[in-house]
Amino acid sequence: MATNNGPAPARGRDPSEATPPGGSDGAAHGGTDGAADSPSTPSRWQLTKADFFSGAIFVAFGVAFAAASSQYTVGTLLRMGPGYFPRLLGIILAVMGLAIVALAALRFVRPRADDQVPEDQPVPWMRGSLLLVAVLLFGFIISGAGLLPTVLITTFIAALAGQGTTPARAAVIAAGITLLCMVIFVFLLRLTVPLFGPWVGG
Amino acid sequence: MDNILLGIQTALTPTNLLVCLIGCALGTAVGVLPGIGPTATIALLLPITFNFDPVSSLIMLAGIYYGAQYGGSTTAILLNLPGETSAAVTAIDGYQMARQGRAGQALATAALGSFFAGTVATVVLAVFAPPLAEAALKFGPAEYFSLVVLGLVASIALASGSLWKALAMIMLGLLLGLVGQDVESGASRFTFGAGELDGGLNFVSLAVGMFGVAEILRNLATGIHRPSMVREVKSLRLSRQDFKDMTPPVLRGTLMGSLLGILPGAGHVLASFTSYSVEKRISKTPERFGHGAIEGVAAPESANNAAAQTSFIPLLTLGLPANPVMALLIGAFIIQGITPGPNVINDEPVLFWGLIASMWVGNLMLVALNLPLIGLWVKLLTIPYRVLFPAIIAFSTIGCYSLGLNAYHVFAIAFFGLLGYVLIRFGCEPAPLLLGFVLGPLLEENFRRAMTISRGDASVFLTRPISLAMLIVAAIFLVVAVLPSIKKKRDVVFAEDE
Repeated sequence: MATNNGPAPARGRDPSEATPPGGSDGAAHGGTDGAADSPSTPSRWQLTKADFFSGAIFVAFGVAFAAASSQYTVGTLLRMGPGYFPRLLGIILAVMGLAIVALAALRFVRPRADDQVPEDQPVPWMRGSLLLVAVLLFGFIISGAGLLPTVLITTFIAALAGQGTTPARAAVIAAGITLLCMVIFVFLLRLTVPLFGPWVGG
Repeated sequence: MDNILLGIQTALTPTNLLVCLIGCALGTAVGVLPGIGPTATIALLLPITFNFDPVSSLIMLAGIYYGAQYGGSTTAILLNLPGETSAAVTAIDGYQMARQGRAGQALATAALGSFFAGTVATVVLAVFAPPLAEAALKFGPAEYFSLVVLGLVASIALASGSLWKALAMIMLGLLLGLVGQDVESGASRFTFGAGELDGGLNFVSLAVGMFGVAEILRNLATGIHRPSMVREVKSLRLSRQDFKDMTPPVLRGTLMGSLLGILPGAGHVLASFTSYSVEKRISKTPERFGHGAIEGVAAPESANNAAAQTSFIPLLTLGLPANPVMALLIGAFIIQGITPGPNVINDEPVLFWGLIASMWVGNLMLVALNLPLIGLWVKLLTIPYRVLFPAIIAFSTIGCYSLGLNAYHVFAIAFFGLLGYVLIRFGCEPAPLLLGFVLGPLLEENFRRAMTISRGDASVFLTRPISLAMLIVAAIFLVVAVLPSIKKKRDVVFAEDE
């Protein structure tokens, strides 16, 4: 399982690793190269963690959708209610999630030869939260504060999430981006959102 | 013939020329920038394009799409930094050529090869799309349901990683696509009583969250690799020998790209990888590959561009997206009030032929625009990431809010950003989820209609021959995808085309 292939493996990766899928020697691109250069042997838990948790997420979503579908008329195949199709899909998703968890458990008991170490980077708890807070805050204050204050505040918070960005620097970045956004969205694209909302006397 | 004239007329109006130019320039710029791929770009810029009429906005979106392909190969050659996956192959020999002082020749080869391939693929599109749409018009709901299933299965059969996870991601996408008011009964589903969600979750929020915000969250932990040295471009002039060397690979690459681009999934990534390995295999001097062989630039670049063009065929004829970018275009069509599918050619001839003609114009623009402006594009790389990502956040939030001035579209960005980050961390690609999300309502509608027509007999999907054939092909895709020998190749073809 190529769990260490992120969504964009090519980008930002050390160029020398970008091995071509050479025709005849293509087999070399199998699964062993990732494990080969890892310094330590991965624990079994590390190998199965990603599968286990993603499976659990799918089960949770499947069960939630299937359960919520029961609130609506399910009906029969001939006369399908609004609940029929989502309930069907929810059950399938939950079963698939269970299968993924089961496969993960199998690998836990008996790891395969071609298993790769999944990339295990630290989670940016603090800075990631700042980023998401910035987005959510935008939604909460946009109608009250208006476009200009909202963009300034949320961009400032988002900029704070940058590596080594001081508050002073974040303020400069936020001011610059806000100016750019005003030019693009208000001046060029004539966005109909008021610049200042009722909270700030707009 | 009249149609082609109509298309050229449409593409050459001043407005459309301008939006095509803006699209190509924006696309190239973002293709050059690391840390933001074409899917996120198009999602970010979608709200802007809605200010134009349908024809212009789609011309602009298409320009962004193939502009991004170009930008990706420019950085691949000059910096060994492929801006997107399909340019990863170009980086191998392109960067070696640049190291040998032949950066200009590599860029010129890529540009001319792409232009030629784009021209041929545009013709392929114009010739094959109408009959295919004609055939698709005869499809009933059962056939359509099976076609969508086939499209979804095929898109993951070629992708990387676990097949189970990809299938589950499709299911989750389909379910999320059902949130909102049910068209037939009017019931509000999964909205938690929030009337703002009756219109459904917004696909722009989903794409911006899963492909933009989730990516930023990943980069916050790891930082982003910055190139240290840009190779100098001396002369763009190709020698007679260069032309002789590049012509056959360009022709073969174009052919392979045109065919593979039609396949759902990572068609253009597959095309560039395949054409490279074919060139290497049939070459008399395969040892030159990896050390600056001009064929190693010409073939994948033409294949990649041809495939980018022909991937519009399933979109314009069947309403099926071949990749996440096409899924976003489906959403763009729908917002503009056009249902993508076989009816587009007859109902919207100006749109269809205008879009095709503008692709050719756009390819010409890219050659004219990019080669002289290389220096400017490279300058973009000096923008630090700590400035870039707050700008992406600002653009996403303003853009999504401007769609209907609905704060829930903004909340959805945070939700999908977090969900995308978690799922990517656990090894699930976001692309199948987006495809499922866009196709969810279509799948349900056709499933219901097929059941109504067959009086609740679910075997209708297996008794109608066309439907059965498509389901069998889908099953073959699935079986083939789990075979070990194919699985190794799948790992090479990355699902995400950023």
